[in-house]
Amino acid sequence: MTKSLLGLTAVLSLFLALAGCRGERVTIVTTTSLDNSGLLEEILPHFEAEHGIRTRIVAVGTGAAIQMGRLGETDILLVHDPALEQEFMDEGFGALRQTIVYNDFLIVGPDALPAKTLADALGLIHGNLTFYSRGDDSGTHARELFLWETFGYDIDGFGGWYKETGQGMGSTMNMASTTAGYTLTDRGTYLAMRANLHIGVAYENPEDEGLHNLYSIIKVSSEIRGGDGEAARVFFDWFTSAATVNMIGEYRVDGERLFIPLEE
Amino acid sequence: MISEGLRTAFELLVSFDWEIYQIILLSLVISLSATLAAGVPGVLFGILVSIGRFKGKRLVKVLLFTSMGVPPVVMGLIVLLLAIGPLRPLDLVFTRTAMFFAQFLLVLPIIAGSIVISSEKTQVRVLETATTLGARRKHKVGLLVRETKPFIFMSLILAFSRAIAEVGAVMLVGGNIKGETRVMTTFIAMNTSMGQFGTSIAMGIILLFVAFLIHLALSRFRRDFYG
Repeated sequence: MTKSLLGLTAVLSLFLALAGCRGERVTIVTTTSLDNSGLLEEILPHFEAEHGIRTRIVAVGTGAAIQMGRLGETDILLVHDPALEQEFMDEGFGALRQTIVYNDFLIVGPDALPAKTLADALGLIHGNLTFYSRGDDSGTHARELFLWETFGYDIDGFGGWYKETGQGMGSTMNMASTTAGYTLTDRGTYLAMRANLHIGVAYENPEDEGLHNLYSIIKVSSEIRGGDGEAARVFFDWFTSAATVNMIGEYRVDGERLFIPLEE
Repeated sequence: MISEGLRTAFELLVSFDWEIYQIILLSLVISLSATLAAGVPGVLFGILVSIGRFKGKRLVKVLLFTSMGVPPVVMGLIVLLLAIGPLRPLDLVFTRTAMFFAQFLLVLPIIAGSIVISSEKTQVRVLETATTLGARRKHKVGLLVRETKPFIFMSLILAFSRAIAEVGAVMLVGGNIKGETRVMTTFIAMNTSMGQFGTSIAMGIILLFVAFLIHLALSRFRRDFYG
């Protein structure tokens, strides 16, 4: 018995040691919204085949992503909170940053809101309809707070209709779906999840810049991350190349494009 | 990071932020009530399985021990599906009641199972002795419960530890809604996902401190167990 246990332990340790061995690898910390869209699974194999560098994706909220960047836990950040990103660059944690694509935010819910403008839509929700806020310092949460503020609302005075989940986009949208509530989401996550939701588009306006959602790639400074940063630079160049941006622009879920290249 | 966590934990506690206290209190109320409520049927079932001589006992035990390992997130999913399905009229989705039920179901097999594991032999012996001495049925039940007491106590502690520490079930059925269904573990998971590791560690320390206080209190009147 003891012998076989020892043997098992040895085999497991060997397995762990082997699993820990690393070839050249790029760690990418991304926001949940980008991960949920399925885009990375689609395009990253092209990169791995072309350059022989493996990739590893960790999906967290933008707040956590930035924090992991500060701690030097990642090579690349794919995030969507321009203000936070700028701060990150100003503090010297990032070496390169480029905004690549955008999509738009929309309000989803059980019924379409009879609203002509975003202000009307928020006005209809305020005080009357259950609204789920991400409440997690994510890029989407930051935008939602900004929108309420822009139209003159004070979040601190919101009542029980306004619920902060502190969870990711997928979980929060599922909560809205289960209880017939409303929430603000990026179009990518909505399209990726649409098939399983009981809610639909309640308000959208792709022309409204207040609802534009800009995605950027940041290469974390090599001094923070350690190593020579060569693989990360190769990845940054590949991701920002015309061919890749084109591929991202052509990525579709259910026939709908999720991301629009900035150049278009 | 840990020492920063200790400092943050202290700051959280002395800031007298009502939100933090509410979170701690809700964790305690839900996990304690779920443990105690599951205690009665769990202990009864555990004793019945221990002393019972019936066909398929082995299978019952295997099933019971298996269900001790149900992942909290799976239990949460089951409760959530019930709440949005057949139990829809009860309006349980993302409520404290749903969190209670999820933890109740989660710890039920842990209580029953640990009683079987720890005291089956003791119970059978007590029963045999009582029968030899010609005890009445009524007395036998009382005797069994009395003799099993330390094991009941242990099973409840196990169950409470599991309940207060789990995050999967309460996150799914409660939704971690601020001011409503946020508990210590979902608060920790949320802050971790937001990159606020210091706050997470702080709440982790508070959770352990609260558990420490509970054990300290229990040790005063269960000296046999802690002595």
